[in-house]
Amino acid sequence: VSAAAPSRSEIELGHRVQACLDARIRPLLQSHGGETEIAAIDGGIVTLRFLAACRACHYKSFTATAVVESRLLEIEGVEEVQIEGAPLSRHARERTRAFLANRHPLFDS
Amino acid sequence: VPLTADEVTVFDNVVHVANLDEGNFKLPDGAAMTDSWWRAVASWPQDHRPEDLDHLRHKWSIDEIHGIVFDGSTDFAMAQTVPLFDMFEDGFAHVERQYLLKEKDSERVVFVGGADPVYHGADGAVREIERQITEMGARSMKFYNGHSRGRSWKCDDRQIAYPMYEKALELGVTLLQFHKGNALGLERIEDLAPHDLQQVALDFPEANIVIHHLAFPYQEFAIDFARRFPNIYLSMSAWVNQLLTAPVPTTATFGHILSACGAEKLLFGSELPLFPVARQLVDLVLAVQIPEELQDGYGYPEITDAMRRQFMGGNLMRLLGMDPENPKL
Repeated sequence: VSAAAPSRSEIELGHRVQACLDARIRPLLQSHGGETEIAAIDGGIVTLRFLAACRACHYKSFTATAVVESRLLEIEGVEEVQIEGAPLSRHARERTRAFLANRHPLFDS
Repeated sequence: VPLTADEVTVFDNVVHVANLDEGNFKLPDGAAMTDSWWRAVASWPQDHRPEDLDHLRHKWSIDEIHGIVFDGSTDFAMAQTVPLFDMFEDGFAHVERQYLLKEKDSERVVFVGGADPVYHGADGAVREIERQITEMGARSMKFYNGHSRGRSWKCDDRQIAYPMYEKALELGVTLLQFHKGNALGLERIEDLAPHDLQQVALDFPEANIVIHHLAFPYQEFAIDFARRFPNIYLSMSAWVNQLLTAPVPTTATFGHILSACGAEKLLFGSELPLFPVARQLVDLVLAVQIPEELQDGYGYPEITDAMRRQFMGGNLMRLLGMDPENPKL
């Protein structure tokens, strides 16, 4: 959560994000030896931290957008997803979102 | 609107009180190195480079370097020894002269010592490190392991290199810096490849390792190592100075590092007196942005103010244990 005392809505959002991570994201990452955790929630901005094999993976940018961001943005109240150490351009993120809008079966879980 | 130097703590990772006087050259290597250095900058705009070859080729004084480093833009700087004994009698940037810059302004200058197991002998290098830390206040050590005429050593040599690191760590100095790639003379470039730092990073997890010059032409490897090893960092030394003459590949390098390693692995370094004054380079780096076509085509991130605060000084402050809210050496 943010450095200041979290608001009630941030706490509730944190619970929803954690539930999504546990059910739909962490199992996928763990299948490759990866892991993630919540670093901060500030309003609607969710910041995650990649751990284990995800931390320095060559493909972390793709994981960040296609696997993580796409699922978290479906949660009510999530406006933006940031991942420490895996910055990516707006262009690349928008392109990936458009691609995933077609619900490619590879990412539809 | 880009950040200004007044809005960010600028901690320069690398300046040298260099001795480029002809009397210091070990001919022909020293002259060749200085000439090649000059050729690299001669095409730069006149107000963005040393005045001429003669001006570059002199024994820079403590006051001269202090004046161009602290011209209003830079808050802190590391005076780096360069133990490069092949080309210069006193090693290009001698221990005592870097120390004197720190003595002149100890609230703003960090003294980076240097030792070499071929130049000092294996045991002598360990003693040198102890002397420089305990008697001279070195807070980091610099190594240059590639040498001409078959006198290189490997950074992961357990008998030759590790005792030096162990001594530094024993005395509380955890920041170990390495000139990699970017051969300045007739060294075998393979000797300066960064590959031997992988084992060092694993064997000394308490150490933080800085690769200088992106290990050119091994930059892909250097970036890969900084991406994977939590304790390997990359300095901007020398390659960032190409922002003027080669902005496209230089900004692409920024993008590559930021997307692979994150801003927390990058350290601003000016290589003064390669640039005539700090402010010009500081302003250039503060204004640098990844062009739209590279953001689009490579996915490189836009450089944010938060990133700038990290690589301009925040990262070095963290590595030295400084309080970013009230930074003091």
